[in-house]
Amino acid sequence: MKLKAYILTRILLSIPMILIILTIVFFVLRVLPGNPILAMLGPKAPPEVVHAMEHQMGLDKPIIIQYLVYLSHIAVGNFGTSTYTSLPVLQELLQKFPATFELTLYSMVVAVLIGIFLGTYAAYNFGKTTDVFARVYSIFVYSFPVFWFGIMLQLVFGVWLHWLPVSGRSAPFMIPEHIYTGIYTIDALLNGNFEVFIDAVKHLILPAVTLGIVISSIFVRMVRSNVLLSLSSQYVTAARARGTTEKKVLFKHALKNAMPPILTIMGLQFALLLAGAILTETTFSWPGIGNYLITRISYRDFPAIQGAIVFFAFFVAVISILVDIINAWIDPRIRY
Amino acid sequence: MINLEVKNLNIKYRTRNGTVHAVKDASFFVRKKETLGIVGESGCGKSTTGHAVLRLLPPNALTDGEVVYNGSNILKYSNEKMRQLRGKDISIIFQDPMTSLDPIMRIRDHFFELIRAHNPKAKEEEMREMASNALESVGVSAKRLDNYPFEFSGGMRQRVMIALGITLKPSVLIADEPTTSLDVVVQEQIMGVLKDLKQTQDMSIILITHDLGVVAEVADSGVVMYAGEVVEYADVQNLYNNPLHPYTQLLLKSVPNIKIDDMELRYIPGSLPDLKNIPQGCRFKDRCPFVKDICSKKEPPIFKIDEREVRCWLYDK
Amino acid sequence: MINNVVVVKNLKKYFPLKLPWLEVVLKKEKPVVKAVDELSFSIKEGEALGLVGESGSGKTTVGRSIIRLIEPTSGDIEINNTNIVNLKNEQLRQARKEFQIIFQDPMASLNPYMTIGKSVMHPLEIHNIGTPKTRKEMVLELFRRVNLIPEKEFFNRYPRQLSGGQRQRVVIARAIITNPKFIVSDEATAMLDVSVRSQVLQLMLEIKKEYNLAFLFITHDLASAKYICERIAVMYLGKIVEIAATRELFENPHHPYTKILMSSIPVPDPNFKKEKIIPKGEIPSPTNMPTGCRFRTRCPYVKKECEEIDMNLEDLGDGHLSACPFFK
Repeated sequence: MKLKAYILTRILLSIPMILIILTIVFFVLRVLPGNPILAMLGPKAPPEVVHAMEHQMGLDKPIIIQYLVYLSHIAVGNFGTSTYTSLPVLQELLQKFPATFELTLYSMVVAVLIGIFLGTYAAYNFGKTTDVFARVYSIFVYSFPVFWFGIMLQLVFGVWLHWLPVSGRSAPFMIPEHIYTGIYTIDALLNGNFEVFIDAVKHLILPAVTLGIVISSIFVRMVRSNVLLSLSSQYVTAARARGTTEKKVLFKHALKNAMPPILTIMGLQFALLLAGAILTETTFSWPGIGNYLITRISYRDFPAIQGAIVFFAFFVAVISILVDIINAWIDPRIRY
Repeated sequence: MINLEVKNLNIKYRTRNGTVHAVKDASFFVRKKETLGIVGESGCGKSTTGHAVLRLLPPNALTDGEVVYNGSNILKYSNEKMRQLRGKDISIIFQDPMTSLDPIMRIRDHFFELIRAHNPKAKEEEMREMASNALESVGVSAKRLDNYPFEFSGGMRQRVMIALGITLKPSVLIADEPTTSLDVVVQEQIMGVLKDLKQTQDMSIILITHDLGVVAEVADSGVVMYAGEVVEYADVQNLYNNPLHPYTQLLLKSVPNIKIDDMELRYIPGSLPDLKNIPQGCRFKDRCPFVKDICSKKEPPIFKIDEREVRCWLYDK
Repeated sequence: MINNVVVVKNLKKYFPLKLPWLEVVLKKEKPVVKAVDELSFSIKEGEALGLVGESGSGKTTVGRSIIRLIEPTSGDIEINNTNIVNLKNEQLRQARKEFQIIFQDPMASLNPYMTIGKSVMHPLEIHNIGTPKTRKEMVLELFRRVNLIPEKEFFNRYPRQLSGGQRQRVVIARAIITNPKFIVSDEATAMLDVSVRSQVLQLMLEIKKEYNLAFLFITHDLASAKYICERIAVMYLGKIVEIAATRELFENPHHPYTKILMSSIPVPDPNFKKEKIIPKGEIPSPTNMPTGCRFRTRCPYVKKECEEIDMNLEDLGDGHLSACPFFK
């Protein structure tokens, strides 16, 4: 009951947040140098044509009107039309998004598993070998450039060992027959086509492991320091004093209490990845949003860029709501 | 009948800046149905001693000596055997009730965890019954089992902690500064609960506190600790009416007593020696008004006088 | 006739209650916590008034609002014949040399990166007292007075190099260096061990005499208050329930709460058998205060009429005031 009320207020509260993001995106893109029409038509376009185009796109209206028009468009899901492909931006984004989502999801699974287990275990064995290993690991991995690490993995597992494919989402003709979610591993399973599933997983392993390992460094540190903190709390000693087993002390008390700040960081990282696994996507020729953005920036496709930013803003909002709800579910003090 | 005995307990902490000898050669015992007060100022090692009995010290602590319970030295127990003892035979409550309960766990789950740790097959109704009885016996309504810790005041949380401590009817309860962070009126209520327990539950209590008033009120015998050592050990009557150690004497004179008008307060000049760097001889010598030559040369041993013990050269015969 | 240094009339401090923003917008009447409600008292030159109560009684809020560390909601506060409630920033800043506060945790009130000599000298610089040369001399003299000897060595030490008792003596030195008329001590000895506490208590007593200070001694410890104070006021949930000369209060406590508080204090004497008065329950939340007498929910002698009385202090003679009209 209290949890439901909390969720409701949390969702209501995110409306002004999204509005603020939309507003900032709108005005920042307006003051940025570079005229989108000139970018579209080329610097030598005759002034009449430019004016006509400006009129057609509504750019000659007062900025407040432009702003309101922009908001009303977004409200109905109109993200504008790409100046590069002349397709609706939303449609393009929705097409590219599943690939990015899939990569992000599996990278997060890798990172979270490494982060939670290595971090917790290191905290529990504070000062011992495992702890030293975890600390060295996180510093070492943190300093890996993603593209370099990706290329190294491609070289070892793709080029030398021939175990895994080095680029793309799938082998030719290995695309799921019916697309439901756009996430190949899930669609393949829904189709019951195991061969396609294996192929999708094979393609996922290298990019997901690359990204997952690099991100795991932050998680290991976060988990380690937060678990250390809760391990030194009185309630942990008190739980031990009740005869609670060490496993329960560690996972039920120490780790669970340490989770809220960890989840917040993980959620933010997840949102960040959705927007910016650009280096990984280009290294592995992954046809996701990162690749899409790179192309469109080079073509000055402003509606596409603006659309992508708004799209991410929504995701950041959604993920932060989810994180807050999970935290409220873990910690009753938040929801009351 | 002796219920728990501590013999020559030594505790050292390894730190970055060297080894701290936090407790040196502490020995005392507690009988059934008896309350032993361990009293001393901050840094004297009283809490360390209490935690060491249940082996709850952090990993950088080295414990040496014996803690004899039921005829065997529990410091030698395996971790699993020790775990089975905790909460069932010996339980402990802590100074700060605000942080002793897991903030994200309902009160009932604290009880269930305790009961299941010692009887994995316990049924829910059975556990609820036990928890309710324990809570009611310390004056908390059983209706509050489903609440979270943050819904309780400090005094109520300490009652919950005591209830947890006595659910499995242990034979020793260690109370580590149980009322220090509480108001006097609440302290009085909690002390009342502890006194009742001693009578109704057939239990020994080890009460660790800095408050000489509290010890006088509830304890049968008292251990005075200073800088990691037991300096005096006697029954409460003798300890208060005829203190032997200069530290005990001065300490008693520095506590304001509301029952004495125009009381002249004394204080002990100087401060605690650095436990990393203990000077030769008696640890109290720099603050002692009766200091003699021998005090700075040799560390005083325990002298036995009748049934009492005191660590001071004044009693060397 | 000895002058009143501090006169507080009808002091109120209400804190707005924190609510989710939606409720704040919707509710017309803003709920408040009445931390201090219609408090009046005065302190004479050379007199220490003890303000005793449990946590949540509002005693700390009184200490902070009468020297405007937090702004009182309403009321008059005269210190040294100036009503400080109406002072503007600069005037208030100048007036501050007349009144000082000593907090519970000396480590938190001393700058860890400043030598204690500089810390104590600082108020002199702020209030432009003396010259750079005489200032250091003043500090050294005061260090001798508060027994931080050798004073020249102590001057250059940092807070972390001192013991708890020494630190609190530094804080006391800093409080009196501007020669104030009035000092608030907010649980100044609560964190100290007994063997050192009495030394600080004694120092405060001596300083009070030498400087003829008015002292507000805020504490939860009646025994310490008894040692230092000429008069004691007992607070409960934002109200003074009883105020009397120290000896009178201990010999003839009138209000049931005072009696309970007194019977709760542990006495370091195993032969002392005290009369036990145990109150019901615990201090109610200040957000949900009982009507009428605020103590009635816990009072062992509660009557029906208690729901309607308004806790005015009645004079029982000789300046002994109590807020309980029934209990004799």
